[in-house]
Amino acid sequence: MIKVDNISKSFGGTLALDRVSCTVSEGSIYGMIGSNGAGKSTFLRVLSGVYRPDSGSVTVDGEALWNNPSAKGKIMFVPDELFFLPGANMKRMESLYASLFPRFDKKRFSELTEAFRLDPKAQINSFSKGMKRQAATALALAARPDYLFFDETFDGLDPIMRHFVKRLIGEDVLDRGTTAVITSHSLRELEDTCDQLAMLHRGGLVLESDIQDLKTDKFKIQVAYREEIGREAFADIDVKHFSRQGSVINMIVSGDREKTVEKLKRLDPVLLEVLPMTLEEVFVYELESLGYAYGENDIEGVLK
Amino acid sequence: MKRFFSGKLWFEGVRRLRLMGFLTLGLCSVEALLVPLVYYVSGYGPYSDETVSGLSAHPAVLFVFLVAAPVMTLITFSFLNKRRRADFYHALPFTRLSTFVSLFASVLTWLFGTVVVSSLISAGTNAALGQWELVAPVFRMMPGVFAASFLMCAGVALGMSVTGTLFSNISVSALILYLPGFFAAIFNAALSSEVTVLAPGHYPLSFIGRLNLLVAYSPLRVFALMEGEFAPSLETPGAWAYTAALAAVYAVLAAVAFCRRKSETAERPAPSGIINAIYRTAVTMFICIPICALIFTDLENEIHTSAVFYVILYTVALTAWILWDLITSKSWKKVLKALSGLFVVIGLNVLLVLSLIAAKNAILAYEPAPADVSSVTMISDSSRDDTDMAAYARGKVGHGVVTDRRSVEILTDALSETVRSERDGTAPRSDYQGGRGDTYSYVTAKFSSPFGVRVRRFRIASGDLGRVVYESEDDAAPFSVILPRANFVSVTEVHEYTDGDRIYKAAREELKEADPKAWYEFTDGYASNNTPGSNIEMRISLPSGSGSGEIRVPLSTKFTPRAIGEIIAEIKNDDTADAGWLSKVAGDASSGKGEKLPWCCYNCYLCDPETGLYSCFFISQSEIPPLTDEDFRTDEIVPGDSFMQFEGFDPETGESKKITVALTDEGIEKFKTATEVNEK
Repeated sequence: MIKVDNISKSFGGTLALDRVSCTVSEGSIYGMIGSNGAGKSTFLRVLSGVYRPDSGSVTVDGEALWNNPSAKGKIMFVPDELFFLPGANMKRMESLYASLFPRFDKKRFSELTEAFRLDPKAQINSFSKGMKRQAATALALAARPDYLFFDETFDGLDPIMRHFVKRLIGEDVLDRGTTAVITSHSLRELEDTCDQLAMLHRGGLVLESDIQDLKTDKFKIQVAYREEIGREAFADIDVKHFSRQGSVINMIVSGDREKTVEKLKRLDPVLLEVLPMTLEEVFVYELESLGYAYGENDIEGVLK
Repeated sequence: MKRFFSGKLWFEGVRRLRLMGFLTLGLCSVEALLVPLVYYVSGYGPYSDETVSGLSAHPAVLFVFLVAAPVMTLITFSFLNKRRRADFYHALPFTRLSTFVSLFASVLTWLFGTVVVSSLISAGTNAALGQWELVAPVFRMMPGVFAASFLMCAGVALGMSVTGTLFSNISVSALILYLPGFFAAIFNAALSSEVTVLAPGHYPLSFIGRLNLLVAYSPLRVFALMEGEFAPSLETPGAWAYTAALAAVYAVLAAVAFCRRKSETAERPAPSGIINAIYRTAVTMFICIPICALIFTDLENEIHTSAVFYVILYTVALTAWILWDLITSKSWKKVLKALSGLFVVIGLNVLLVLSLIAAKNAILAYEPAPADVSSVTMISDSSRDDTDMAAYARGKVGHGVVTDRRSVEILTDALSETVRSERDGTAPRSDYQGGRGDTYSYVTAKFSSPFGVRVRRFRIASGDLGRVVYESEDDAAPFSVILPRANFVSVTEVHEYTDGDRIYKAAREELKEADPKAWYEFTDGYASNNTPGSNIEMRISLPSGSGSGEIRVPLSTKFTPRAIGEIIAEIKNDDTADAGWLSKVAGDASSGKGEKLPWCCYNCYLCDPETGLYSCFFISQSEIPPLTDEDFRTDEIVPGDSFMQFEGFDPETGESKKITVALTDEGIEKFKTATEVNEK
């Protein structure tokens, strides 16, 4: 289990992580989404022992992570910017990883290289972006870590490879009890992969939830009344977003669905409809509520 | 152990460096094979292994510590300059310290391995070729090469640990390794130009130039040589120890900086803006230090160097400042923002000039009263090209320590007089000012007083010094007077004629009966006034452990007539070709002139028996007076006799020659009247 306790990290005057706390359970896939510059990569670097947090602590199975070979030995980090030795091919990288990571499984590496259809003798520098990511994924999985961290894992992979990598990660979690932490901009990639989802915004963790809860906790309501009713009429409902088109009110609401519907019915609506939300909508509305949104003026300015 | 070192990471480091490593090893090994062969084919040697430097036997080691060491360190730690590489290495399951130590050790492994292997090849080749004198020096310099390589790697590793781009890596490493030496060299050069009372080798911070092997094998060596200090060689044990100790300090600092380094420093010139400002200021001060020294010299001498010159120099410094910012930030906005930091540079410039003035005043403030001085230790004056006989004798007075009150008083008074003349600005600027007949000389001594122990160089009359040397109640042993037992090396100019050992023995016998004080004054005057090697002198090599290496002993008919006679006899008897030349120089008496001579004689010298120095007759061929057999001495040379030396060349072959002869008074007189005498 990874326990992140109140960590902060800043670069110069920029606060990249602001008192982030979370827990990643063993044998789960933990997804992290966030806007650009939200601190996802910084978070993973702190979790990998690359960055030392300015404050707070990270423990892996109860052991402090920073500068601790024992704890770091359980982790394999695949960053957004990949590193391969200059002029190296897959064989050279295999020998590098085999010498540095005691649990590196050469047989597994051969299987994965073959599965990804990568030429073990070709220079990795000649690989495409997606092939490099496949190579890095193969190396990471073959190292047989307890914890796998992927930063922008699916970046550059074609749909088939994305699906294949997801399967590989899923299998590792199921078969070996590996814990994976994955960051991505794409909610859809995480939606069908992760058990837990967290959202970072401006360095702060604004949302952390089981993926199923996320889908059911928030819902969209369309409601219309005979008389004009203001937002104050819904004070006892947790409204995340409120907009009006004519007499129709659109709301994003968080909380118990049945109880909310009951409250709205008491106001005698002429129209009351409850609609399910995609994770994408949850993400957008959550960020909007935090003030991260594009206004019409912004869009017009860009599109001019 | 795993927290400090990882064999796997070390092996990866070694593997990573294999291209550069094998290139270096190959280059050094080929050189180690070729150089002995070249010496063998060209017939180099034989010589005593005491006089062969390791570098002349195996010069490629310079490549190891000056080129391979920094390049390998840059390659090994280059991951610190790229974020993705830094992330990879920092995410590995090793402690930061273990990562640093293992990778650093991999660099040293290649360097040390290369030195050992190539030295063995060099020694083996030399041994196989029978050039045994070239074997030991190669191994003698090995600790020095290790220490210099270690220092270079540690300095570069430290520079890389506190920077994040290749440009800043190289710049800051160079500052770490060379700025202290550069500062010390300029500071000392400025002080020594204004304060002659400072003894070479005893300036503030002069230990850097004397002991730091990297500074010694850089252009900064020029400063040490200019100041008359001894630049260390790879075979100097003191320099090994200092260089290795400094390297260890740098390595520890590098390890600390590496462990504390933030991974995000990659691709940035410095971990923070303040540290970048420090680097920028240091780079600018590299240029400002000589300017400050110039300002100090101007102030002290009330000279006004052209303001335009200063404007140019400071413009260069400002350009360095701006360039640093432009290269590291690539933003004019940041350059302009950083300009306020120039006030720090201005402050440092003022501080440096004031420091020089304060240092000069502090040095000249040391003027102890004789009663306060408990002892004076005579120190061999390293500013002379070789250790001379007079310096040897001074060093032997009471084994160098003078406690006799009268002697202490003489020496302290001489120091006070020198200091006062320094303050008044009347001190002679040249070491040997005065020329022939000057009875003063400079000596170096350590004064012990309640105000501290100071080494000073001061002017003292030879007579006073003679009294200290020979009338002191301290242990002025007779062995300082006669020639010590030693290995004869050579007699200058005429060595090809002579049986040196016989002459040396003759000179030693003669000097046993010499008046010690007169002998001292003669040797001291000779050492102060002659150009080494221009007169007849013996060079002798003292046994190791005697405190000196090679000393020069002047020959003169005043003290060593028999030795001179031996030389002349050798020339006459042993070399018929030269004797033939001699008769031609002498000319054909019947022709009246020397026109028939195939040899051109352009100079002849007359040795002054009182000083051992030559007078020079510049002479043209037509002016050579005809000499007869009667003009050549056949009787024994006795004290006070003069002898002559002719210098000429064969116009057909260009071969030059020098001949020493003894003429009768009449023969000498012929030259004196035939030519105009010029003192050389």
